[in-house]
Amino acid sequence: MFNLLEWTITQDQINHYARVSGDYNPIHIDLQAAQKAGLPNCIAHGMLVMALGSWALRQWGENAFELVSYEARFQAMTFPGEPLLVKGFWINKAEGKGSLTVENKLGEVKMKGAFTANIIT
Amino acid sequence: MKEKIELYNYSYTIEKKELYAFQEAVFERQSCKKIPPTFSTVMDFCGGLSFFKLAELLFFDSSFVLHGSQSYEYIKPFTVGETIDATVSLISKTEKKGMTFAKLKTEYKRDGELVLVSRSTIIEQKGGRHV
Repeated sequence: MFNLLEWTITQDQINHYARVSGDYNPIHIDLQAAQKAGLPNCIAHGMLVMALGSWALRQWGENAFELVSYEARFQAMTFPGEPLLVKGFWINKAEGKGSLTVENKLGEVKMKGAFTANIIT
Repeated sequence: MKEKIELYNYSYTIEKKELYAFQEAVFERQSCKKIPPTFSTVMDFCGGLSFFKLAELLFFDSSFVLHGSQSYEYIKPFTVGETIDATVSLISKTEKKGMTFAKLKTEYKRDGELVLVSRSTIIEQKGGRHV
């Protein structure tokens, strides 16, 4: 098990991510558009949550991981201001296969991910 | 449909300014040495099609588009100043329980050599429950 990491994505971070990534899906940045889509609030980009996962991988592995693959399934909405926990563990360290999840403090899984990395020794 | 269809191609040259801005947005240190694992989203939207154009191409209502899944295979490293040629294909488009799922595959090449493969599932879901 890697160290548990905590992060809260803010609406400002979501807006900033939209500007730099070019992903202007309005449900992320426009409250009225989010509500039209049946959401109570704007939601974080799945790709921003996935980037949070890769941030965690860097915290855990620093320069010792060279990613070979990285995948994510977005399972629930991530709302701005929602405290998140990033958990990860090796499935098979010898093969560089690991798992990570991003969830809230109630245990709702936002993103279920897997990665394969070359471990640089 | 379940037959692969090539949707569009684009070229994108990685600029230091855009890389640094993205690194800041995804909590990474600013550095030309390492491209963040999810940087290709910048290439797709800034070099390829906008979110709205992509939705239109998929015949999706842009008000109800969600991202279901994403995966990457990192084949060769690439860096600032290099030009990447991307080919985006629709792998399948299926409907289930009122939702439409489009699976896309993007191959990124540098000078003809494959460097990255991306696969994503984009969902049109009215009254959405996914991300």
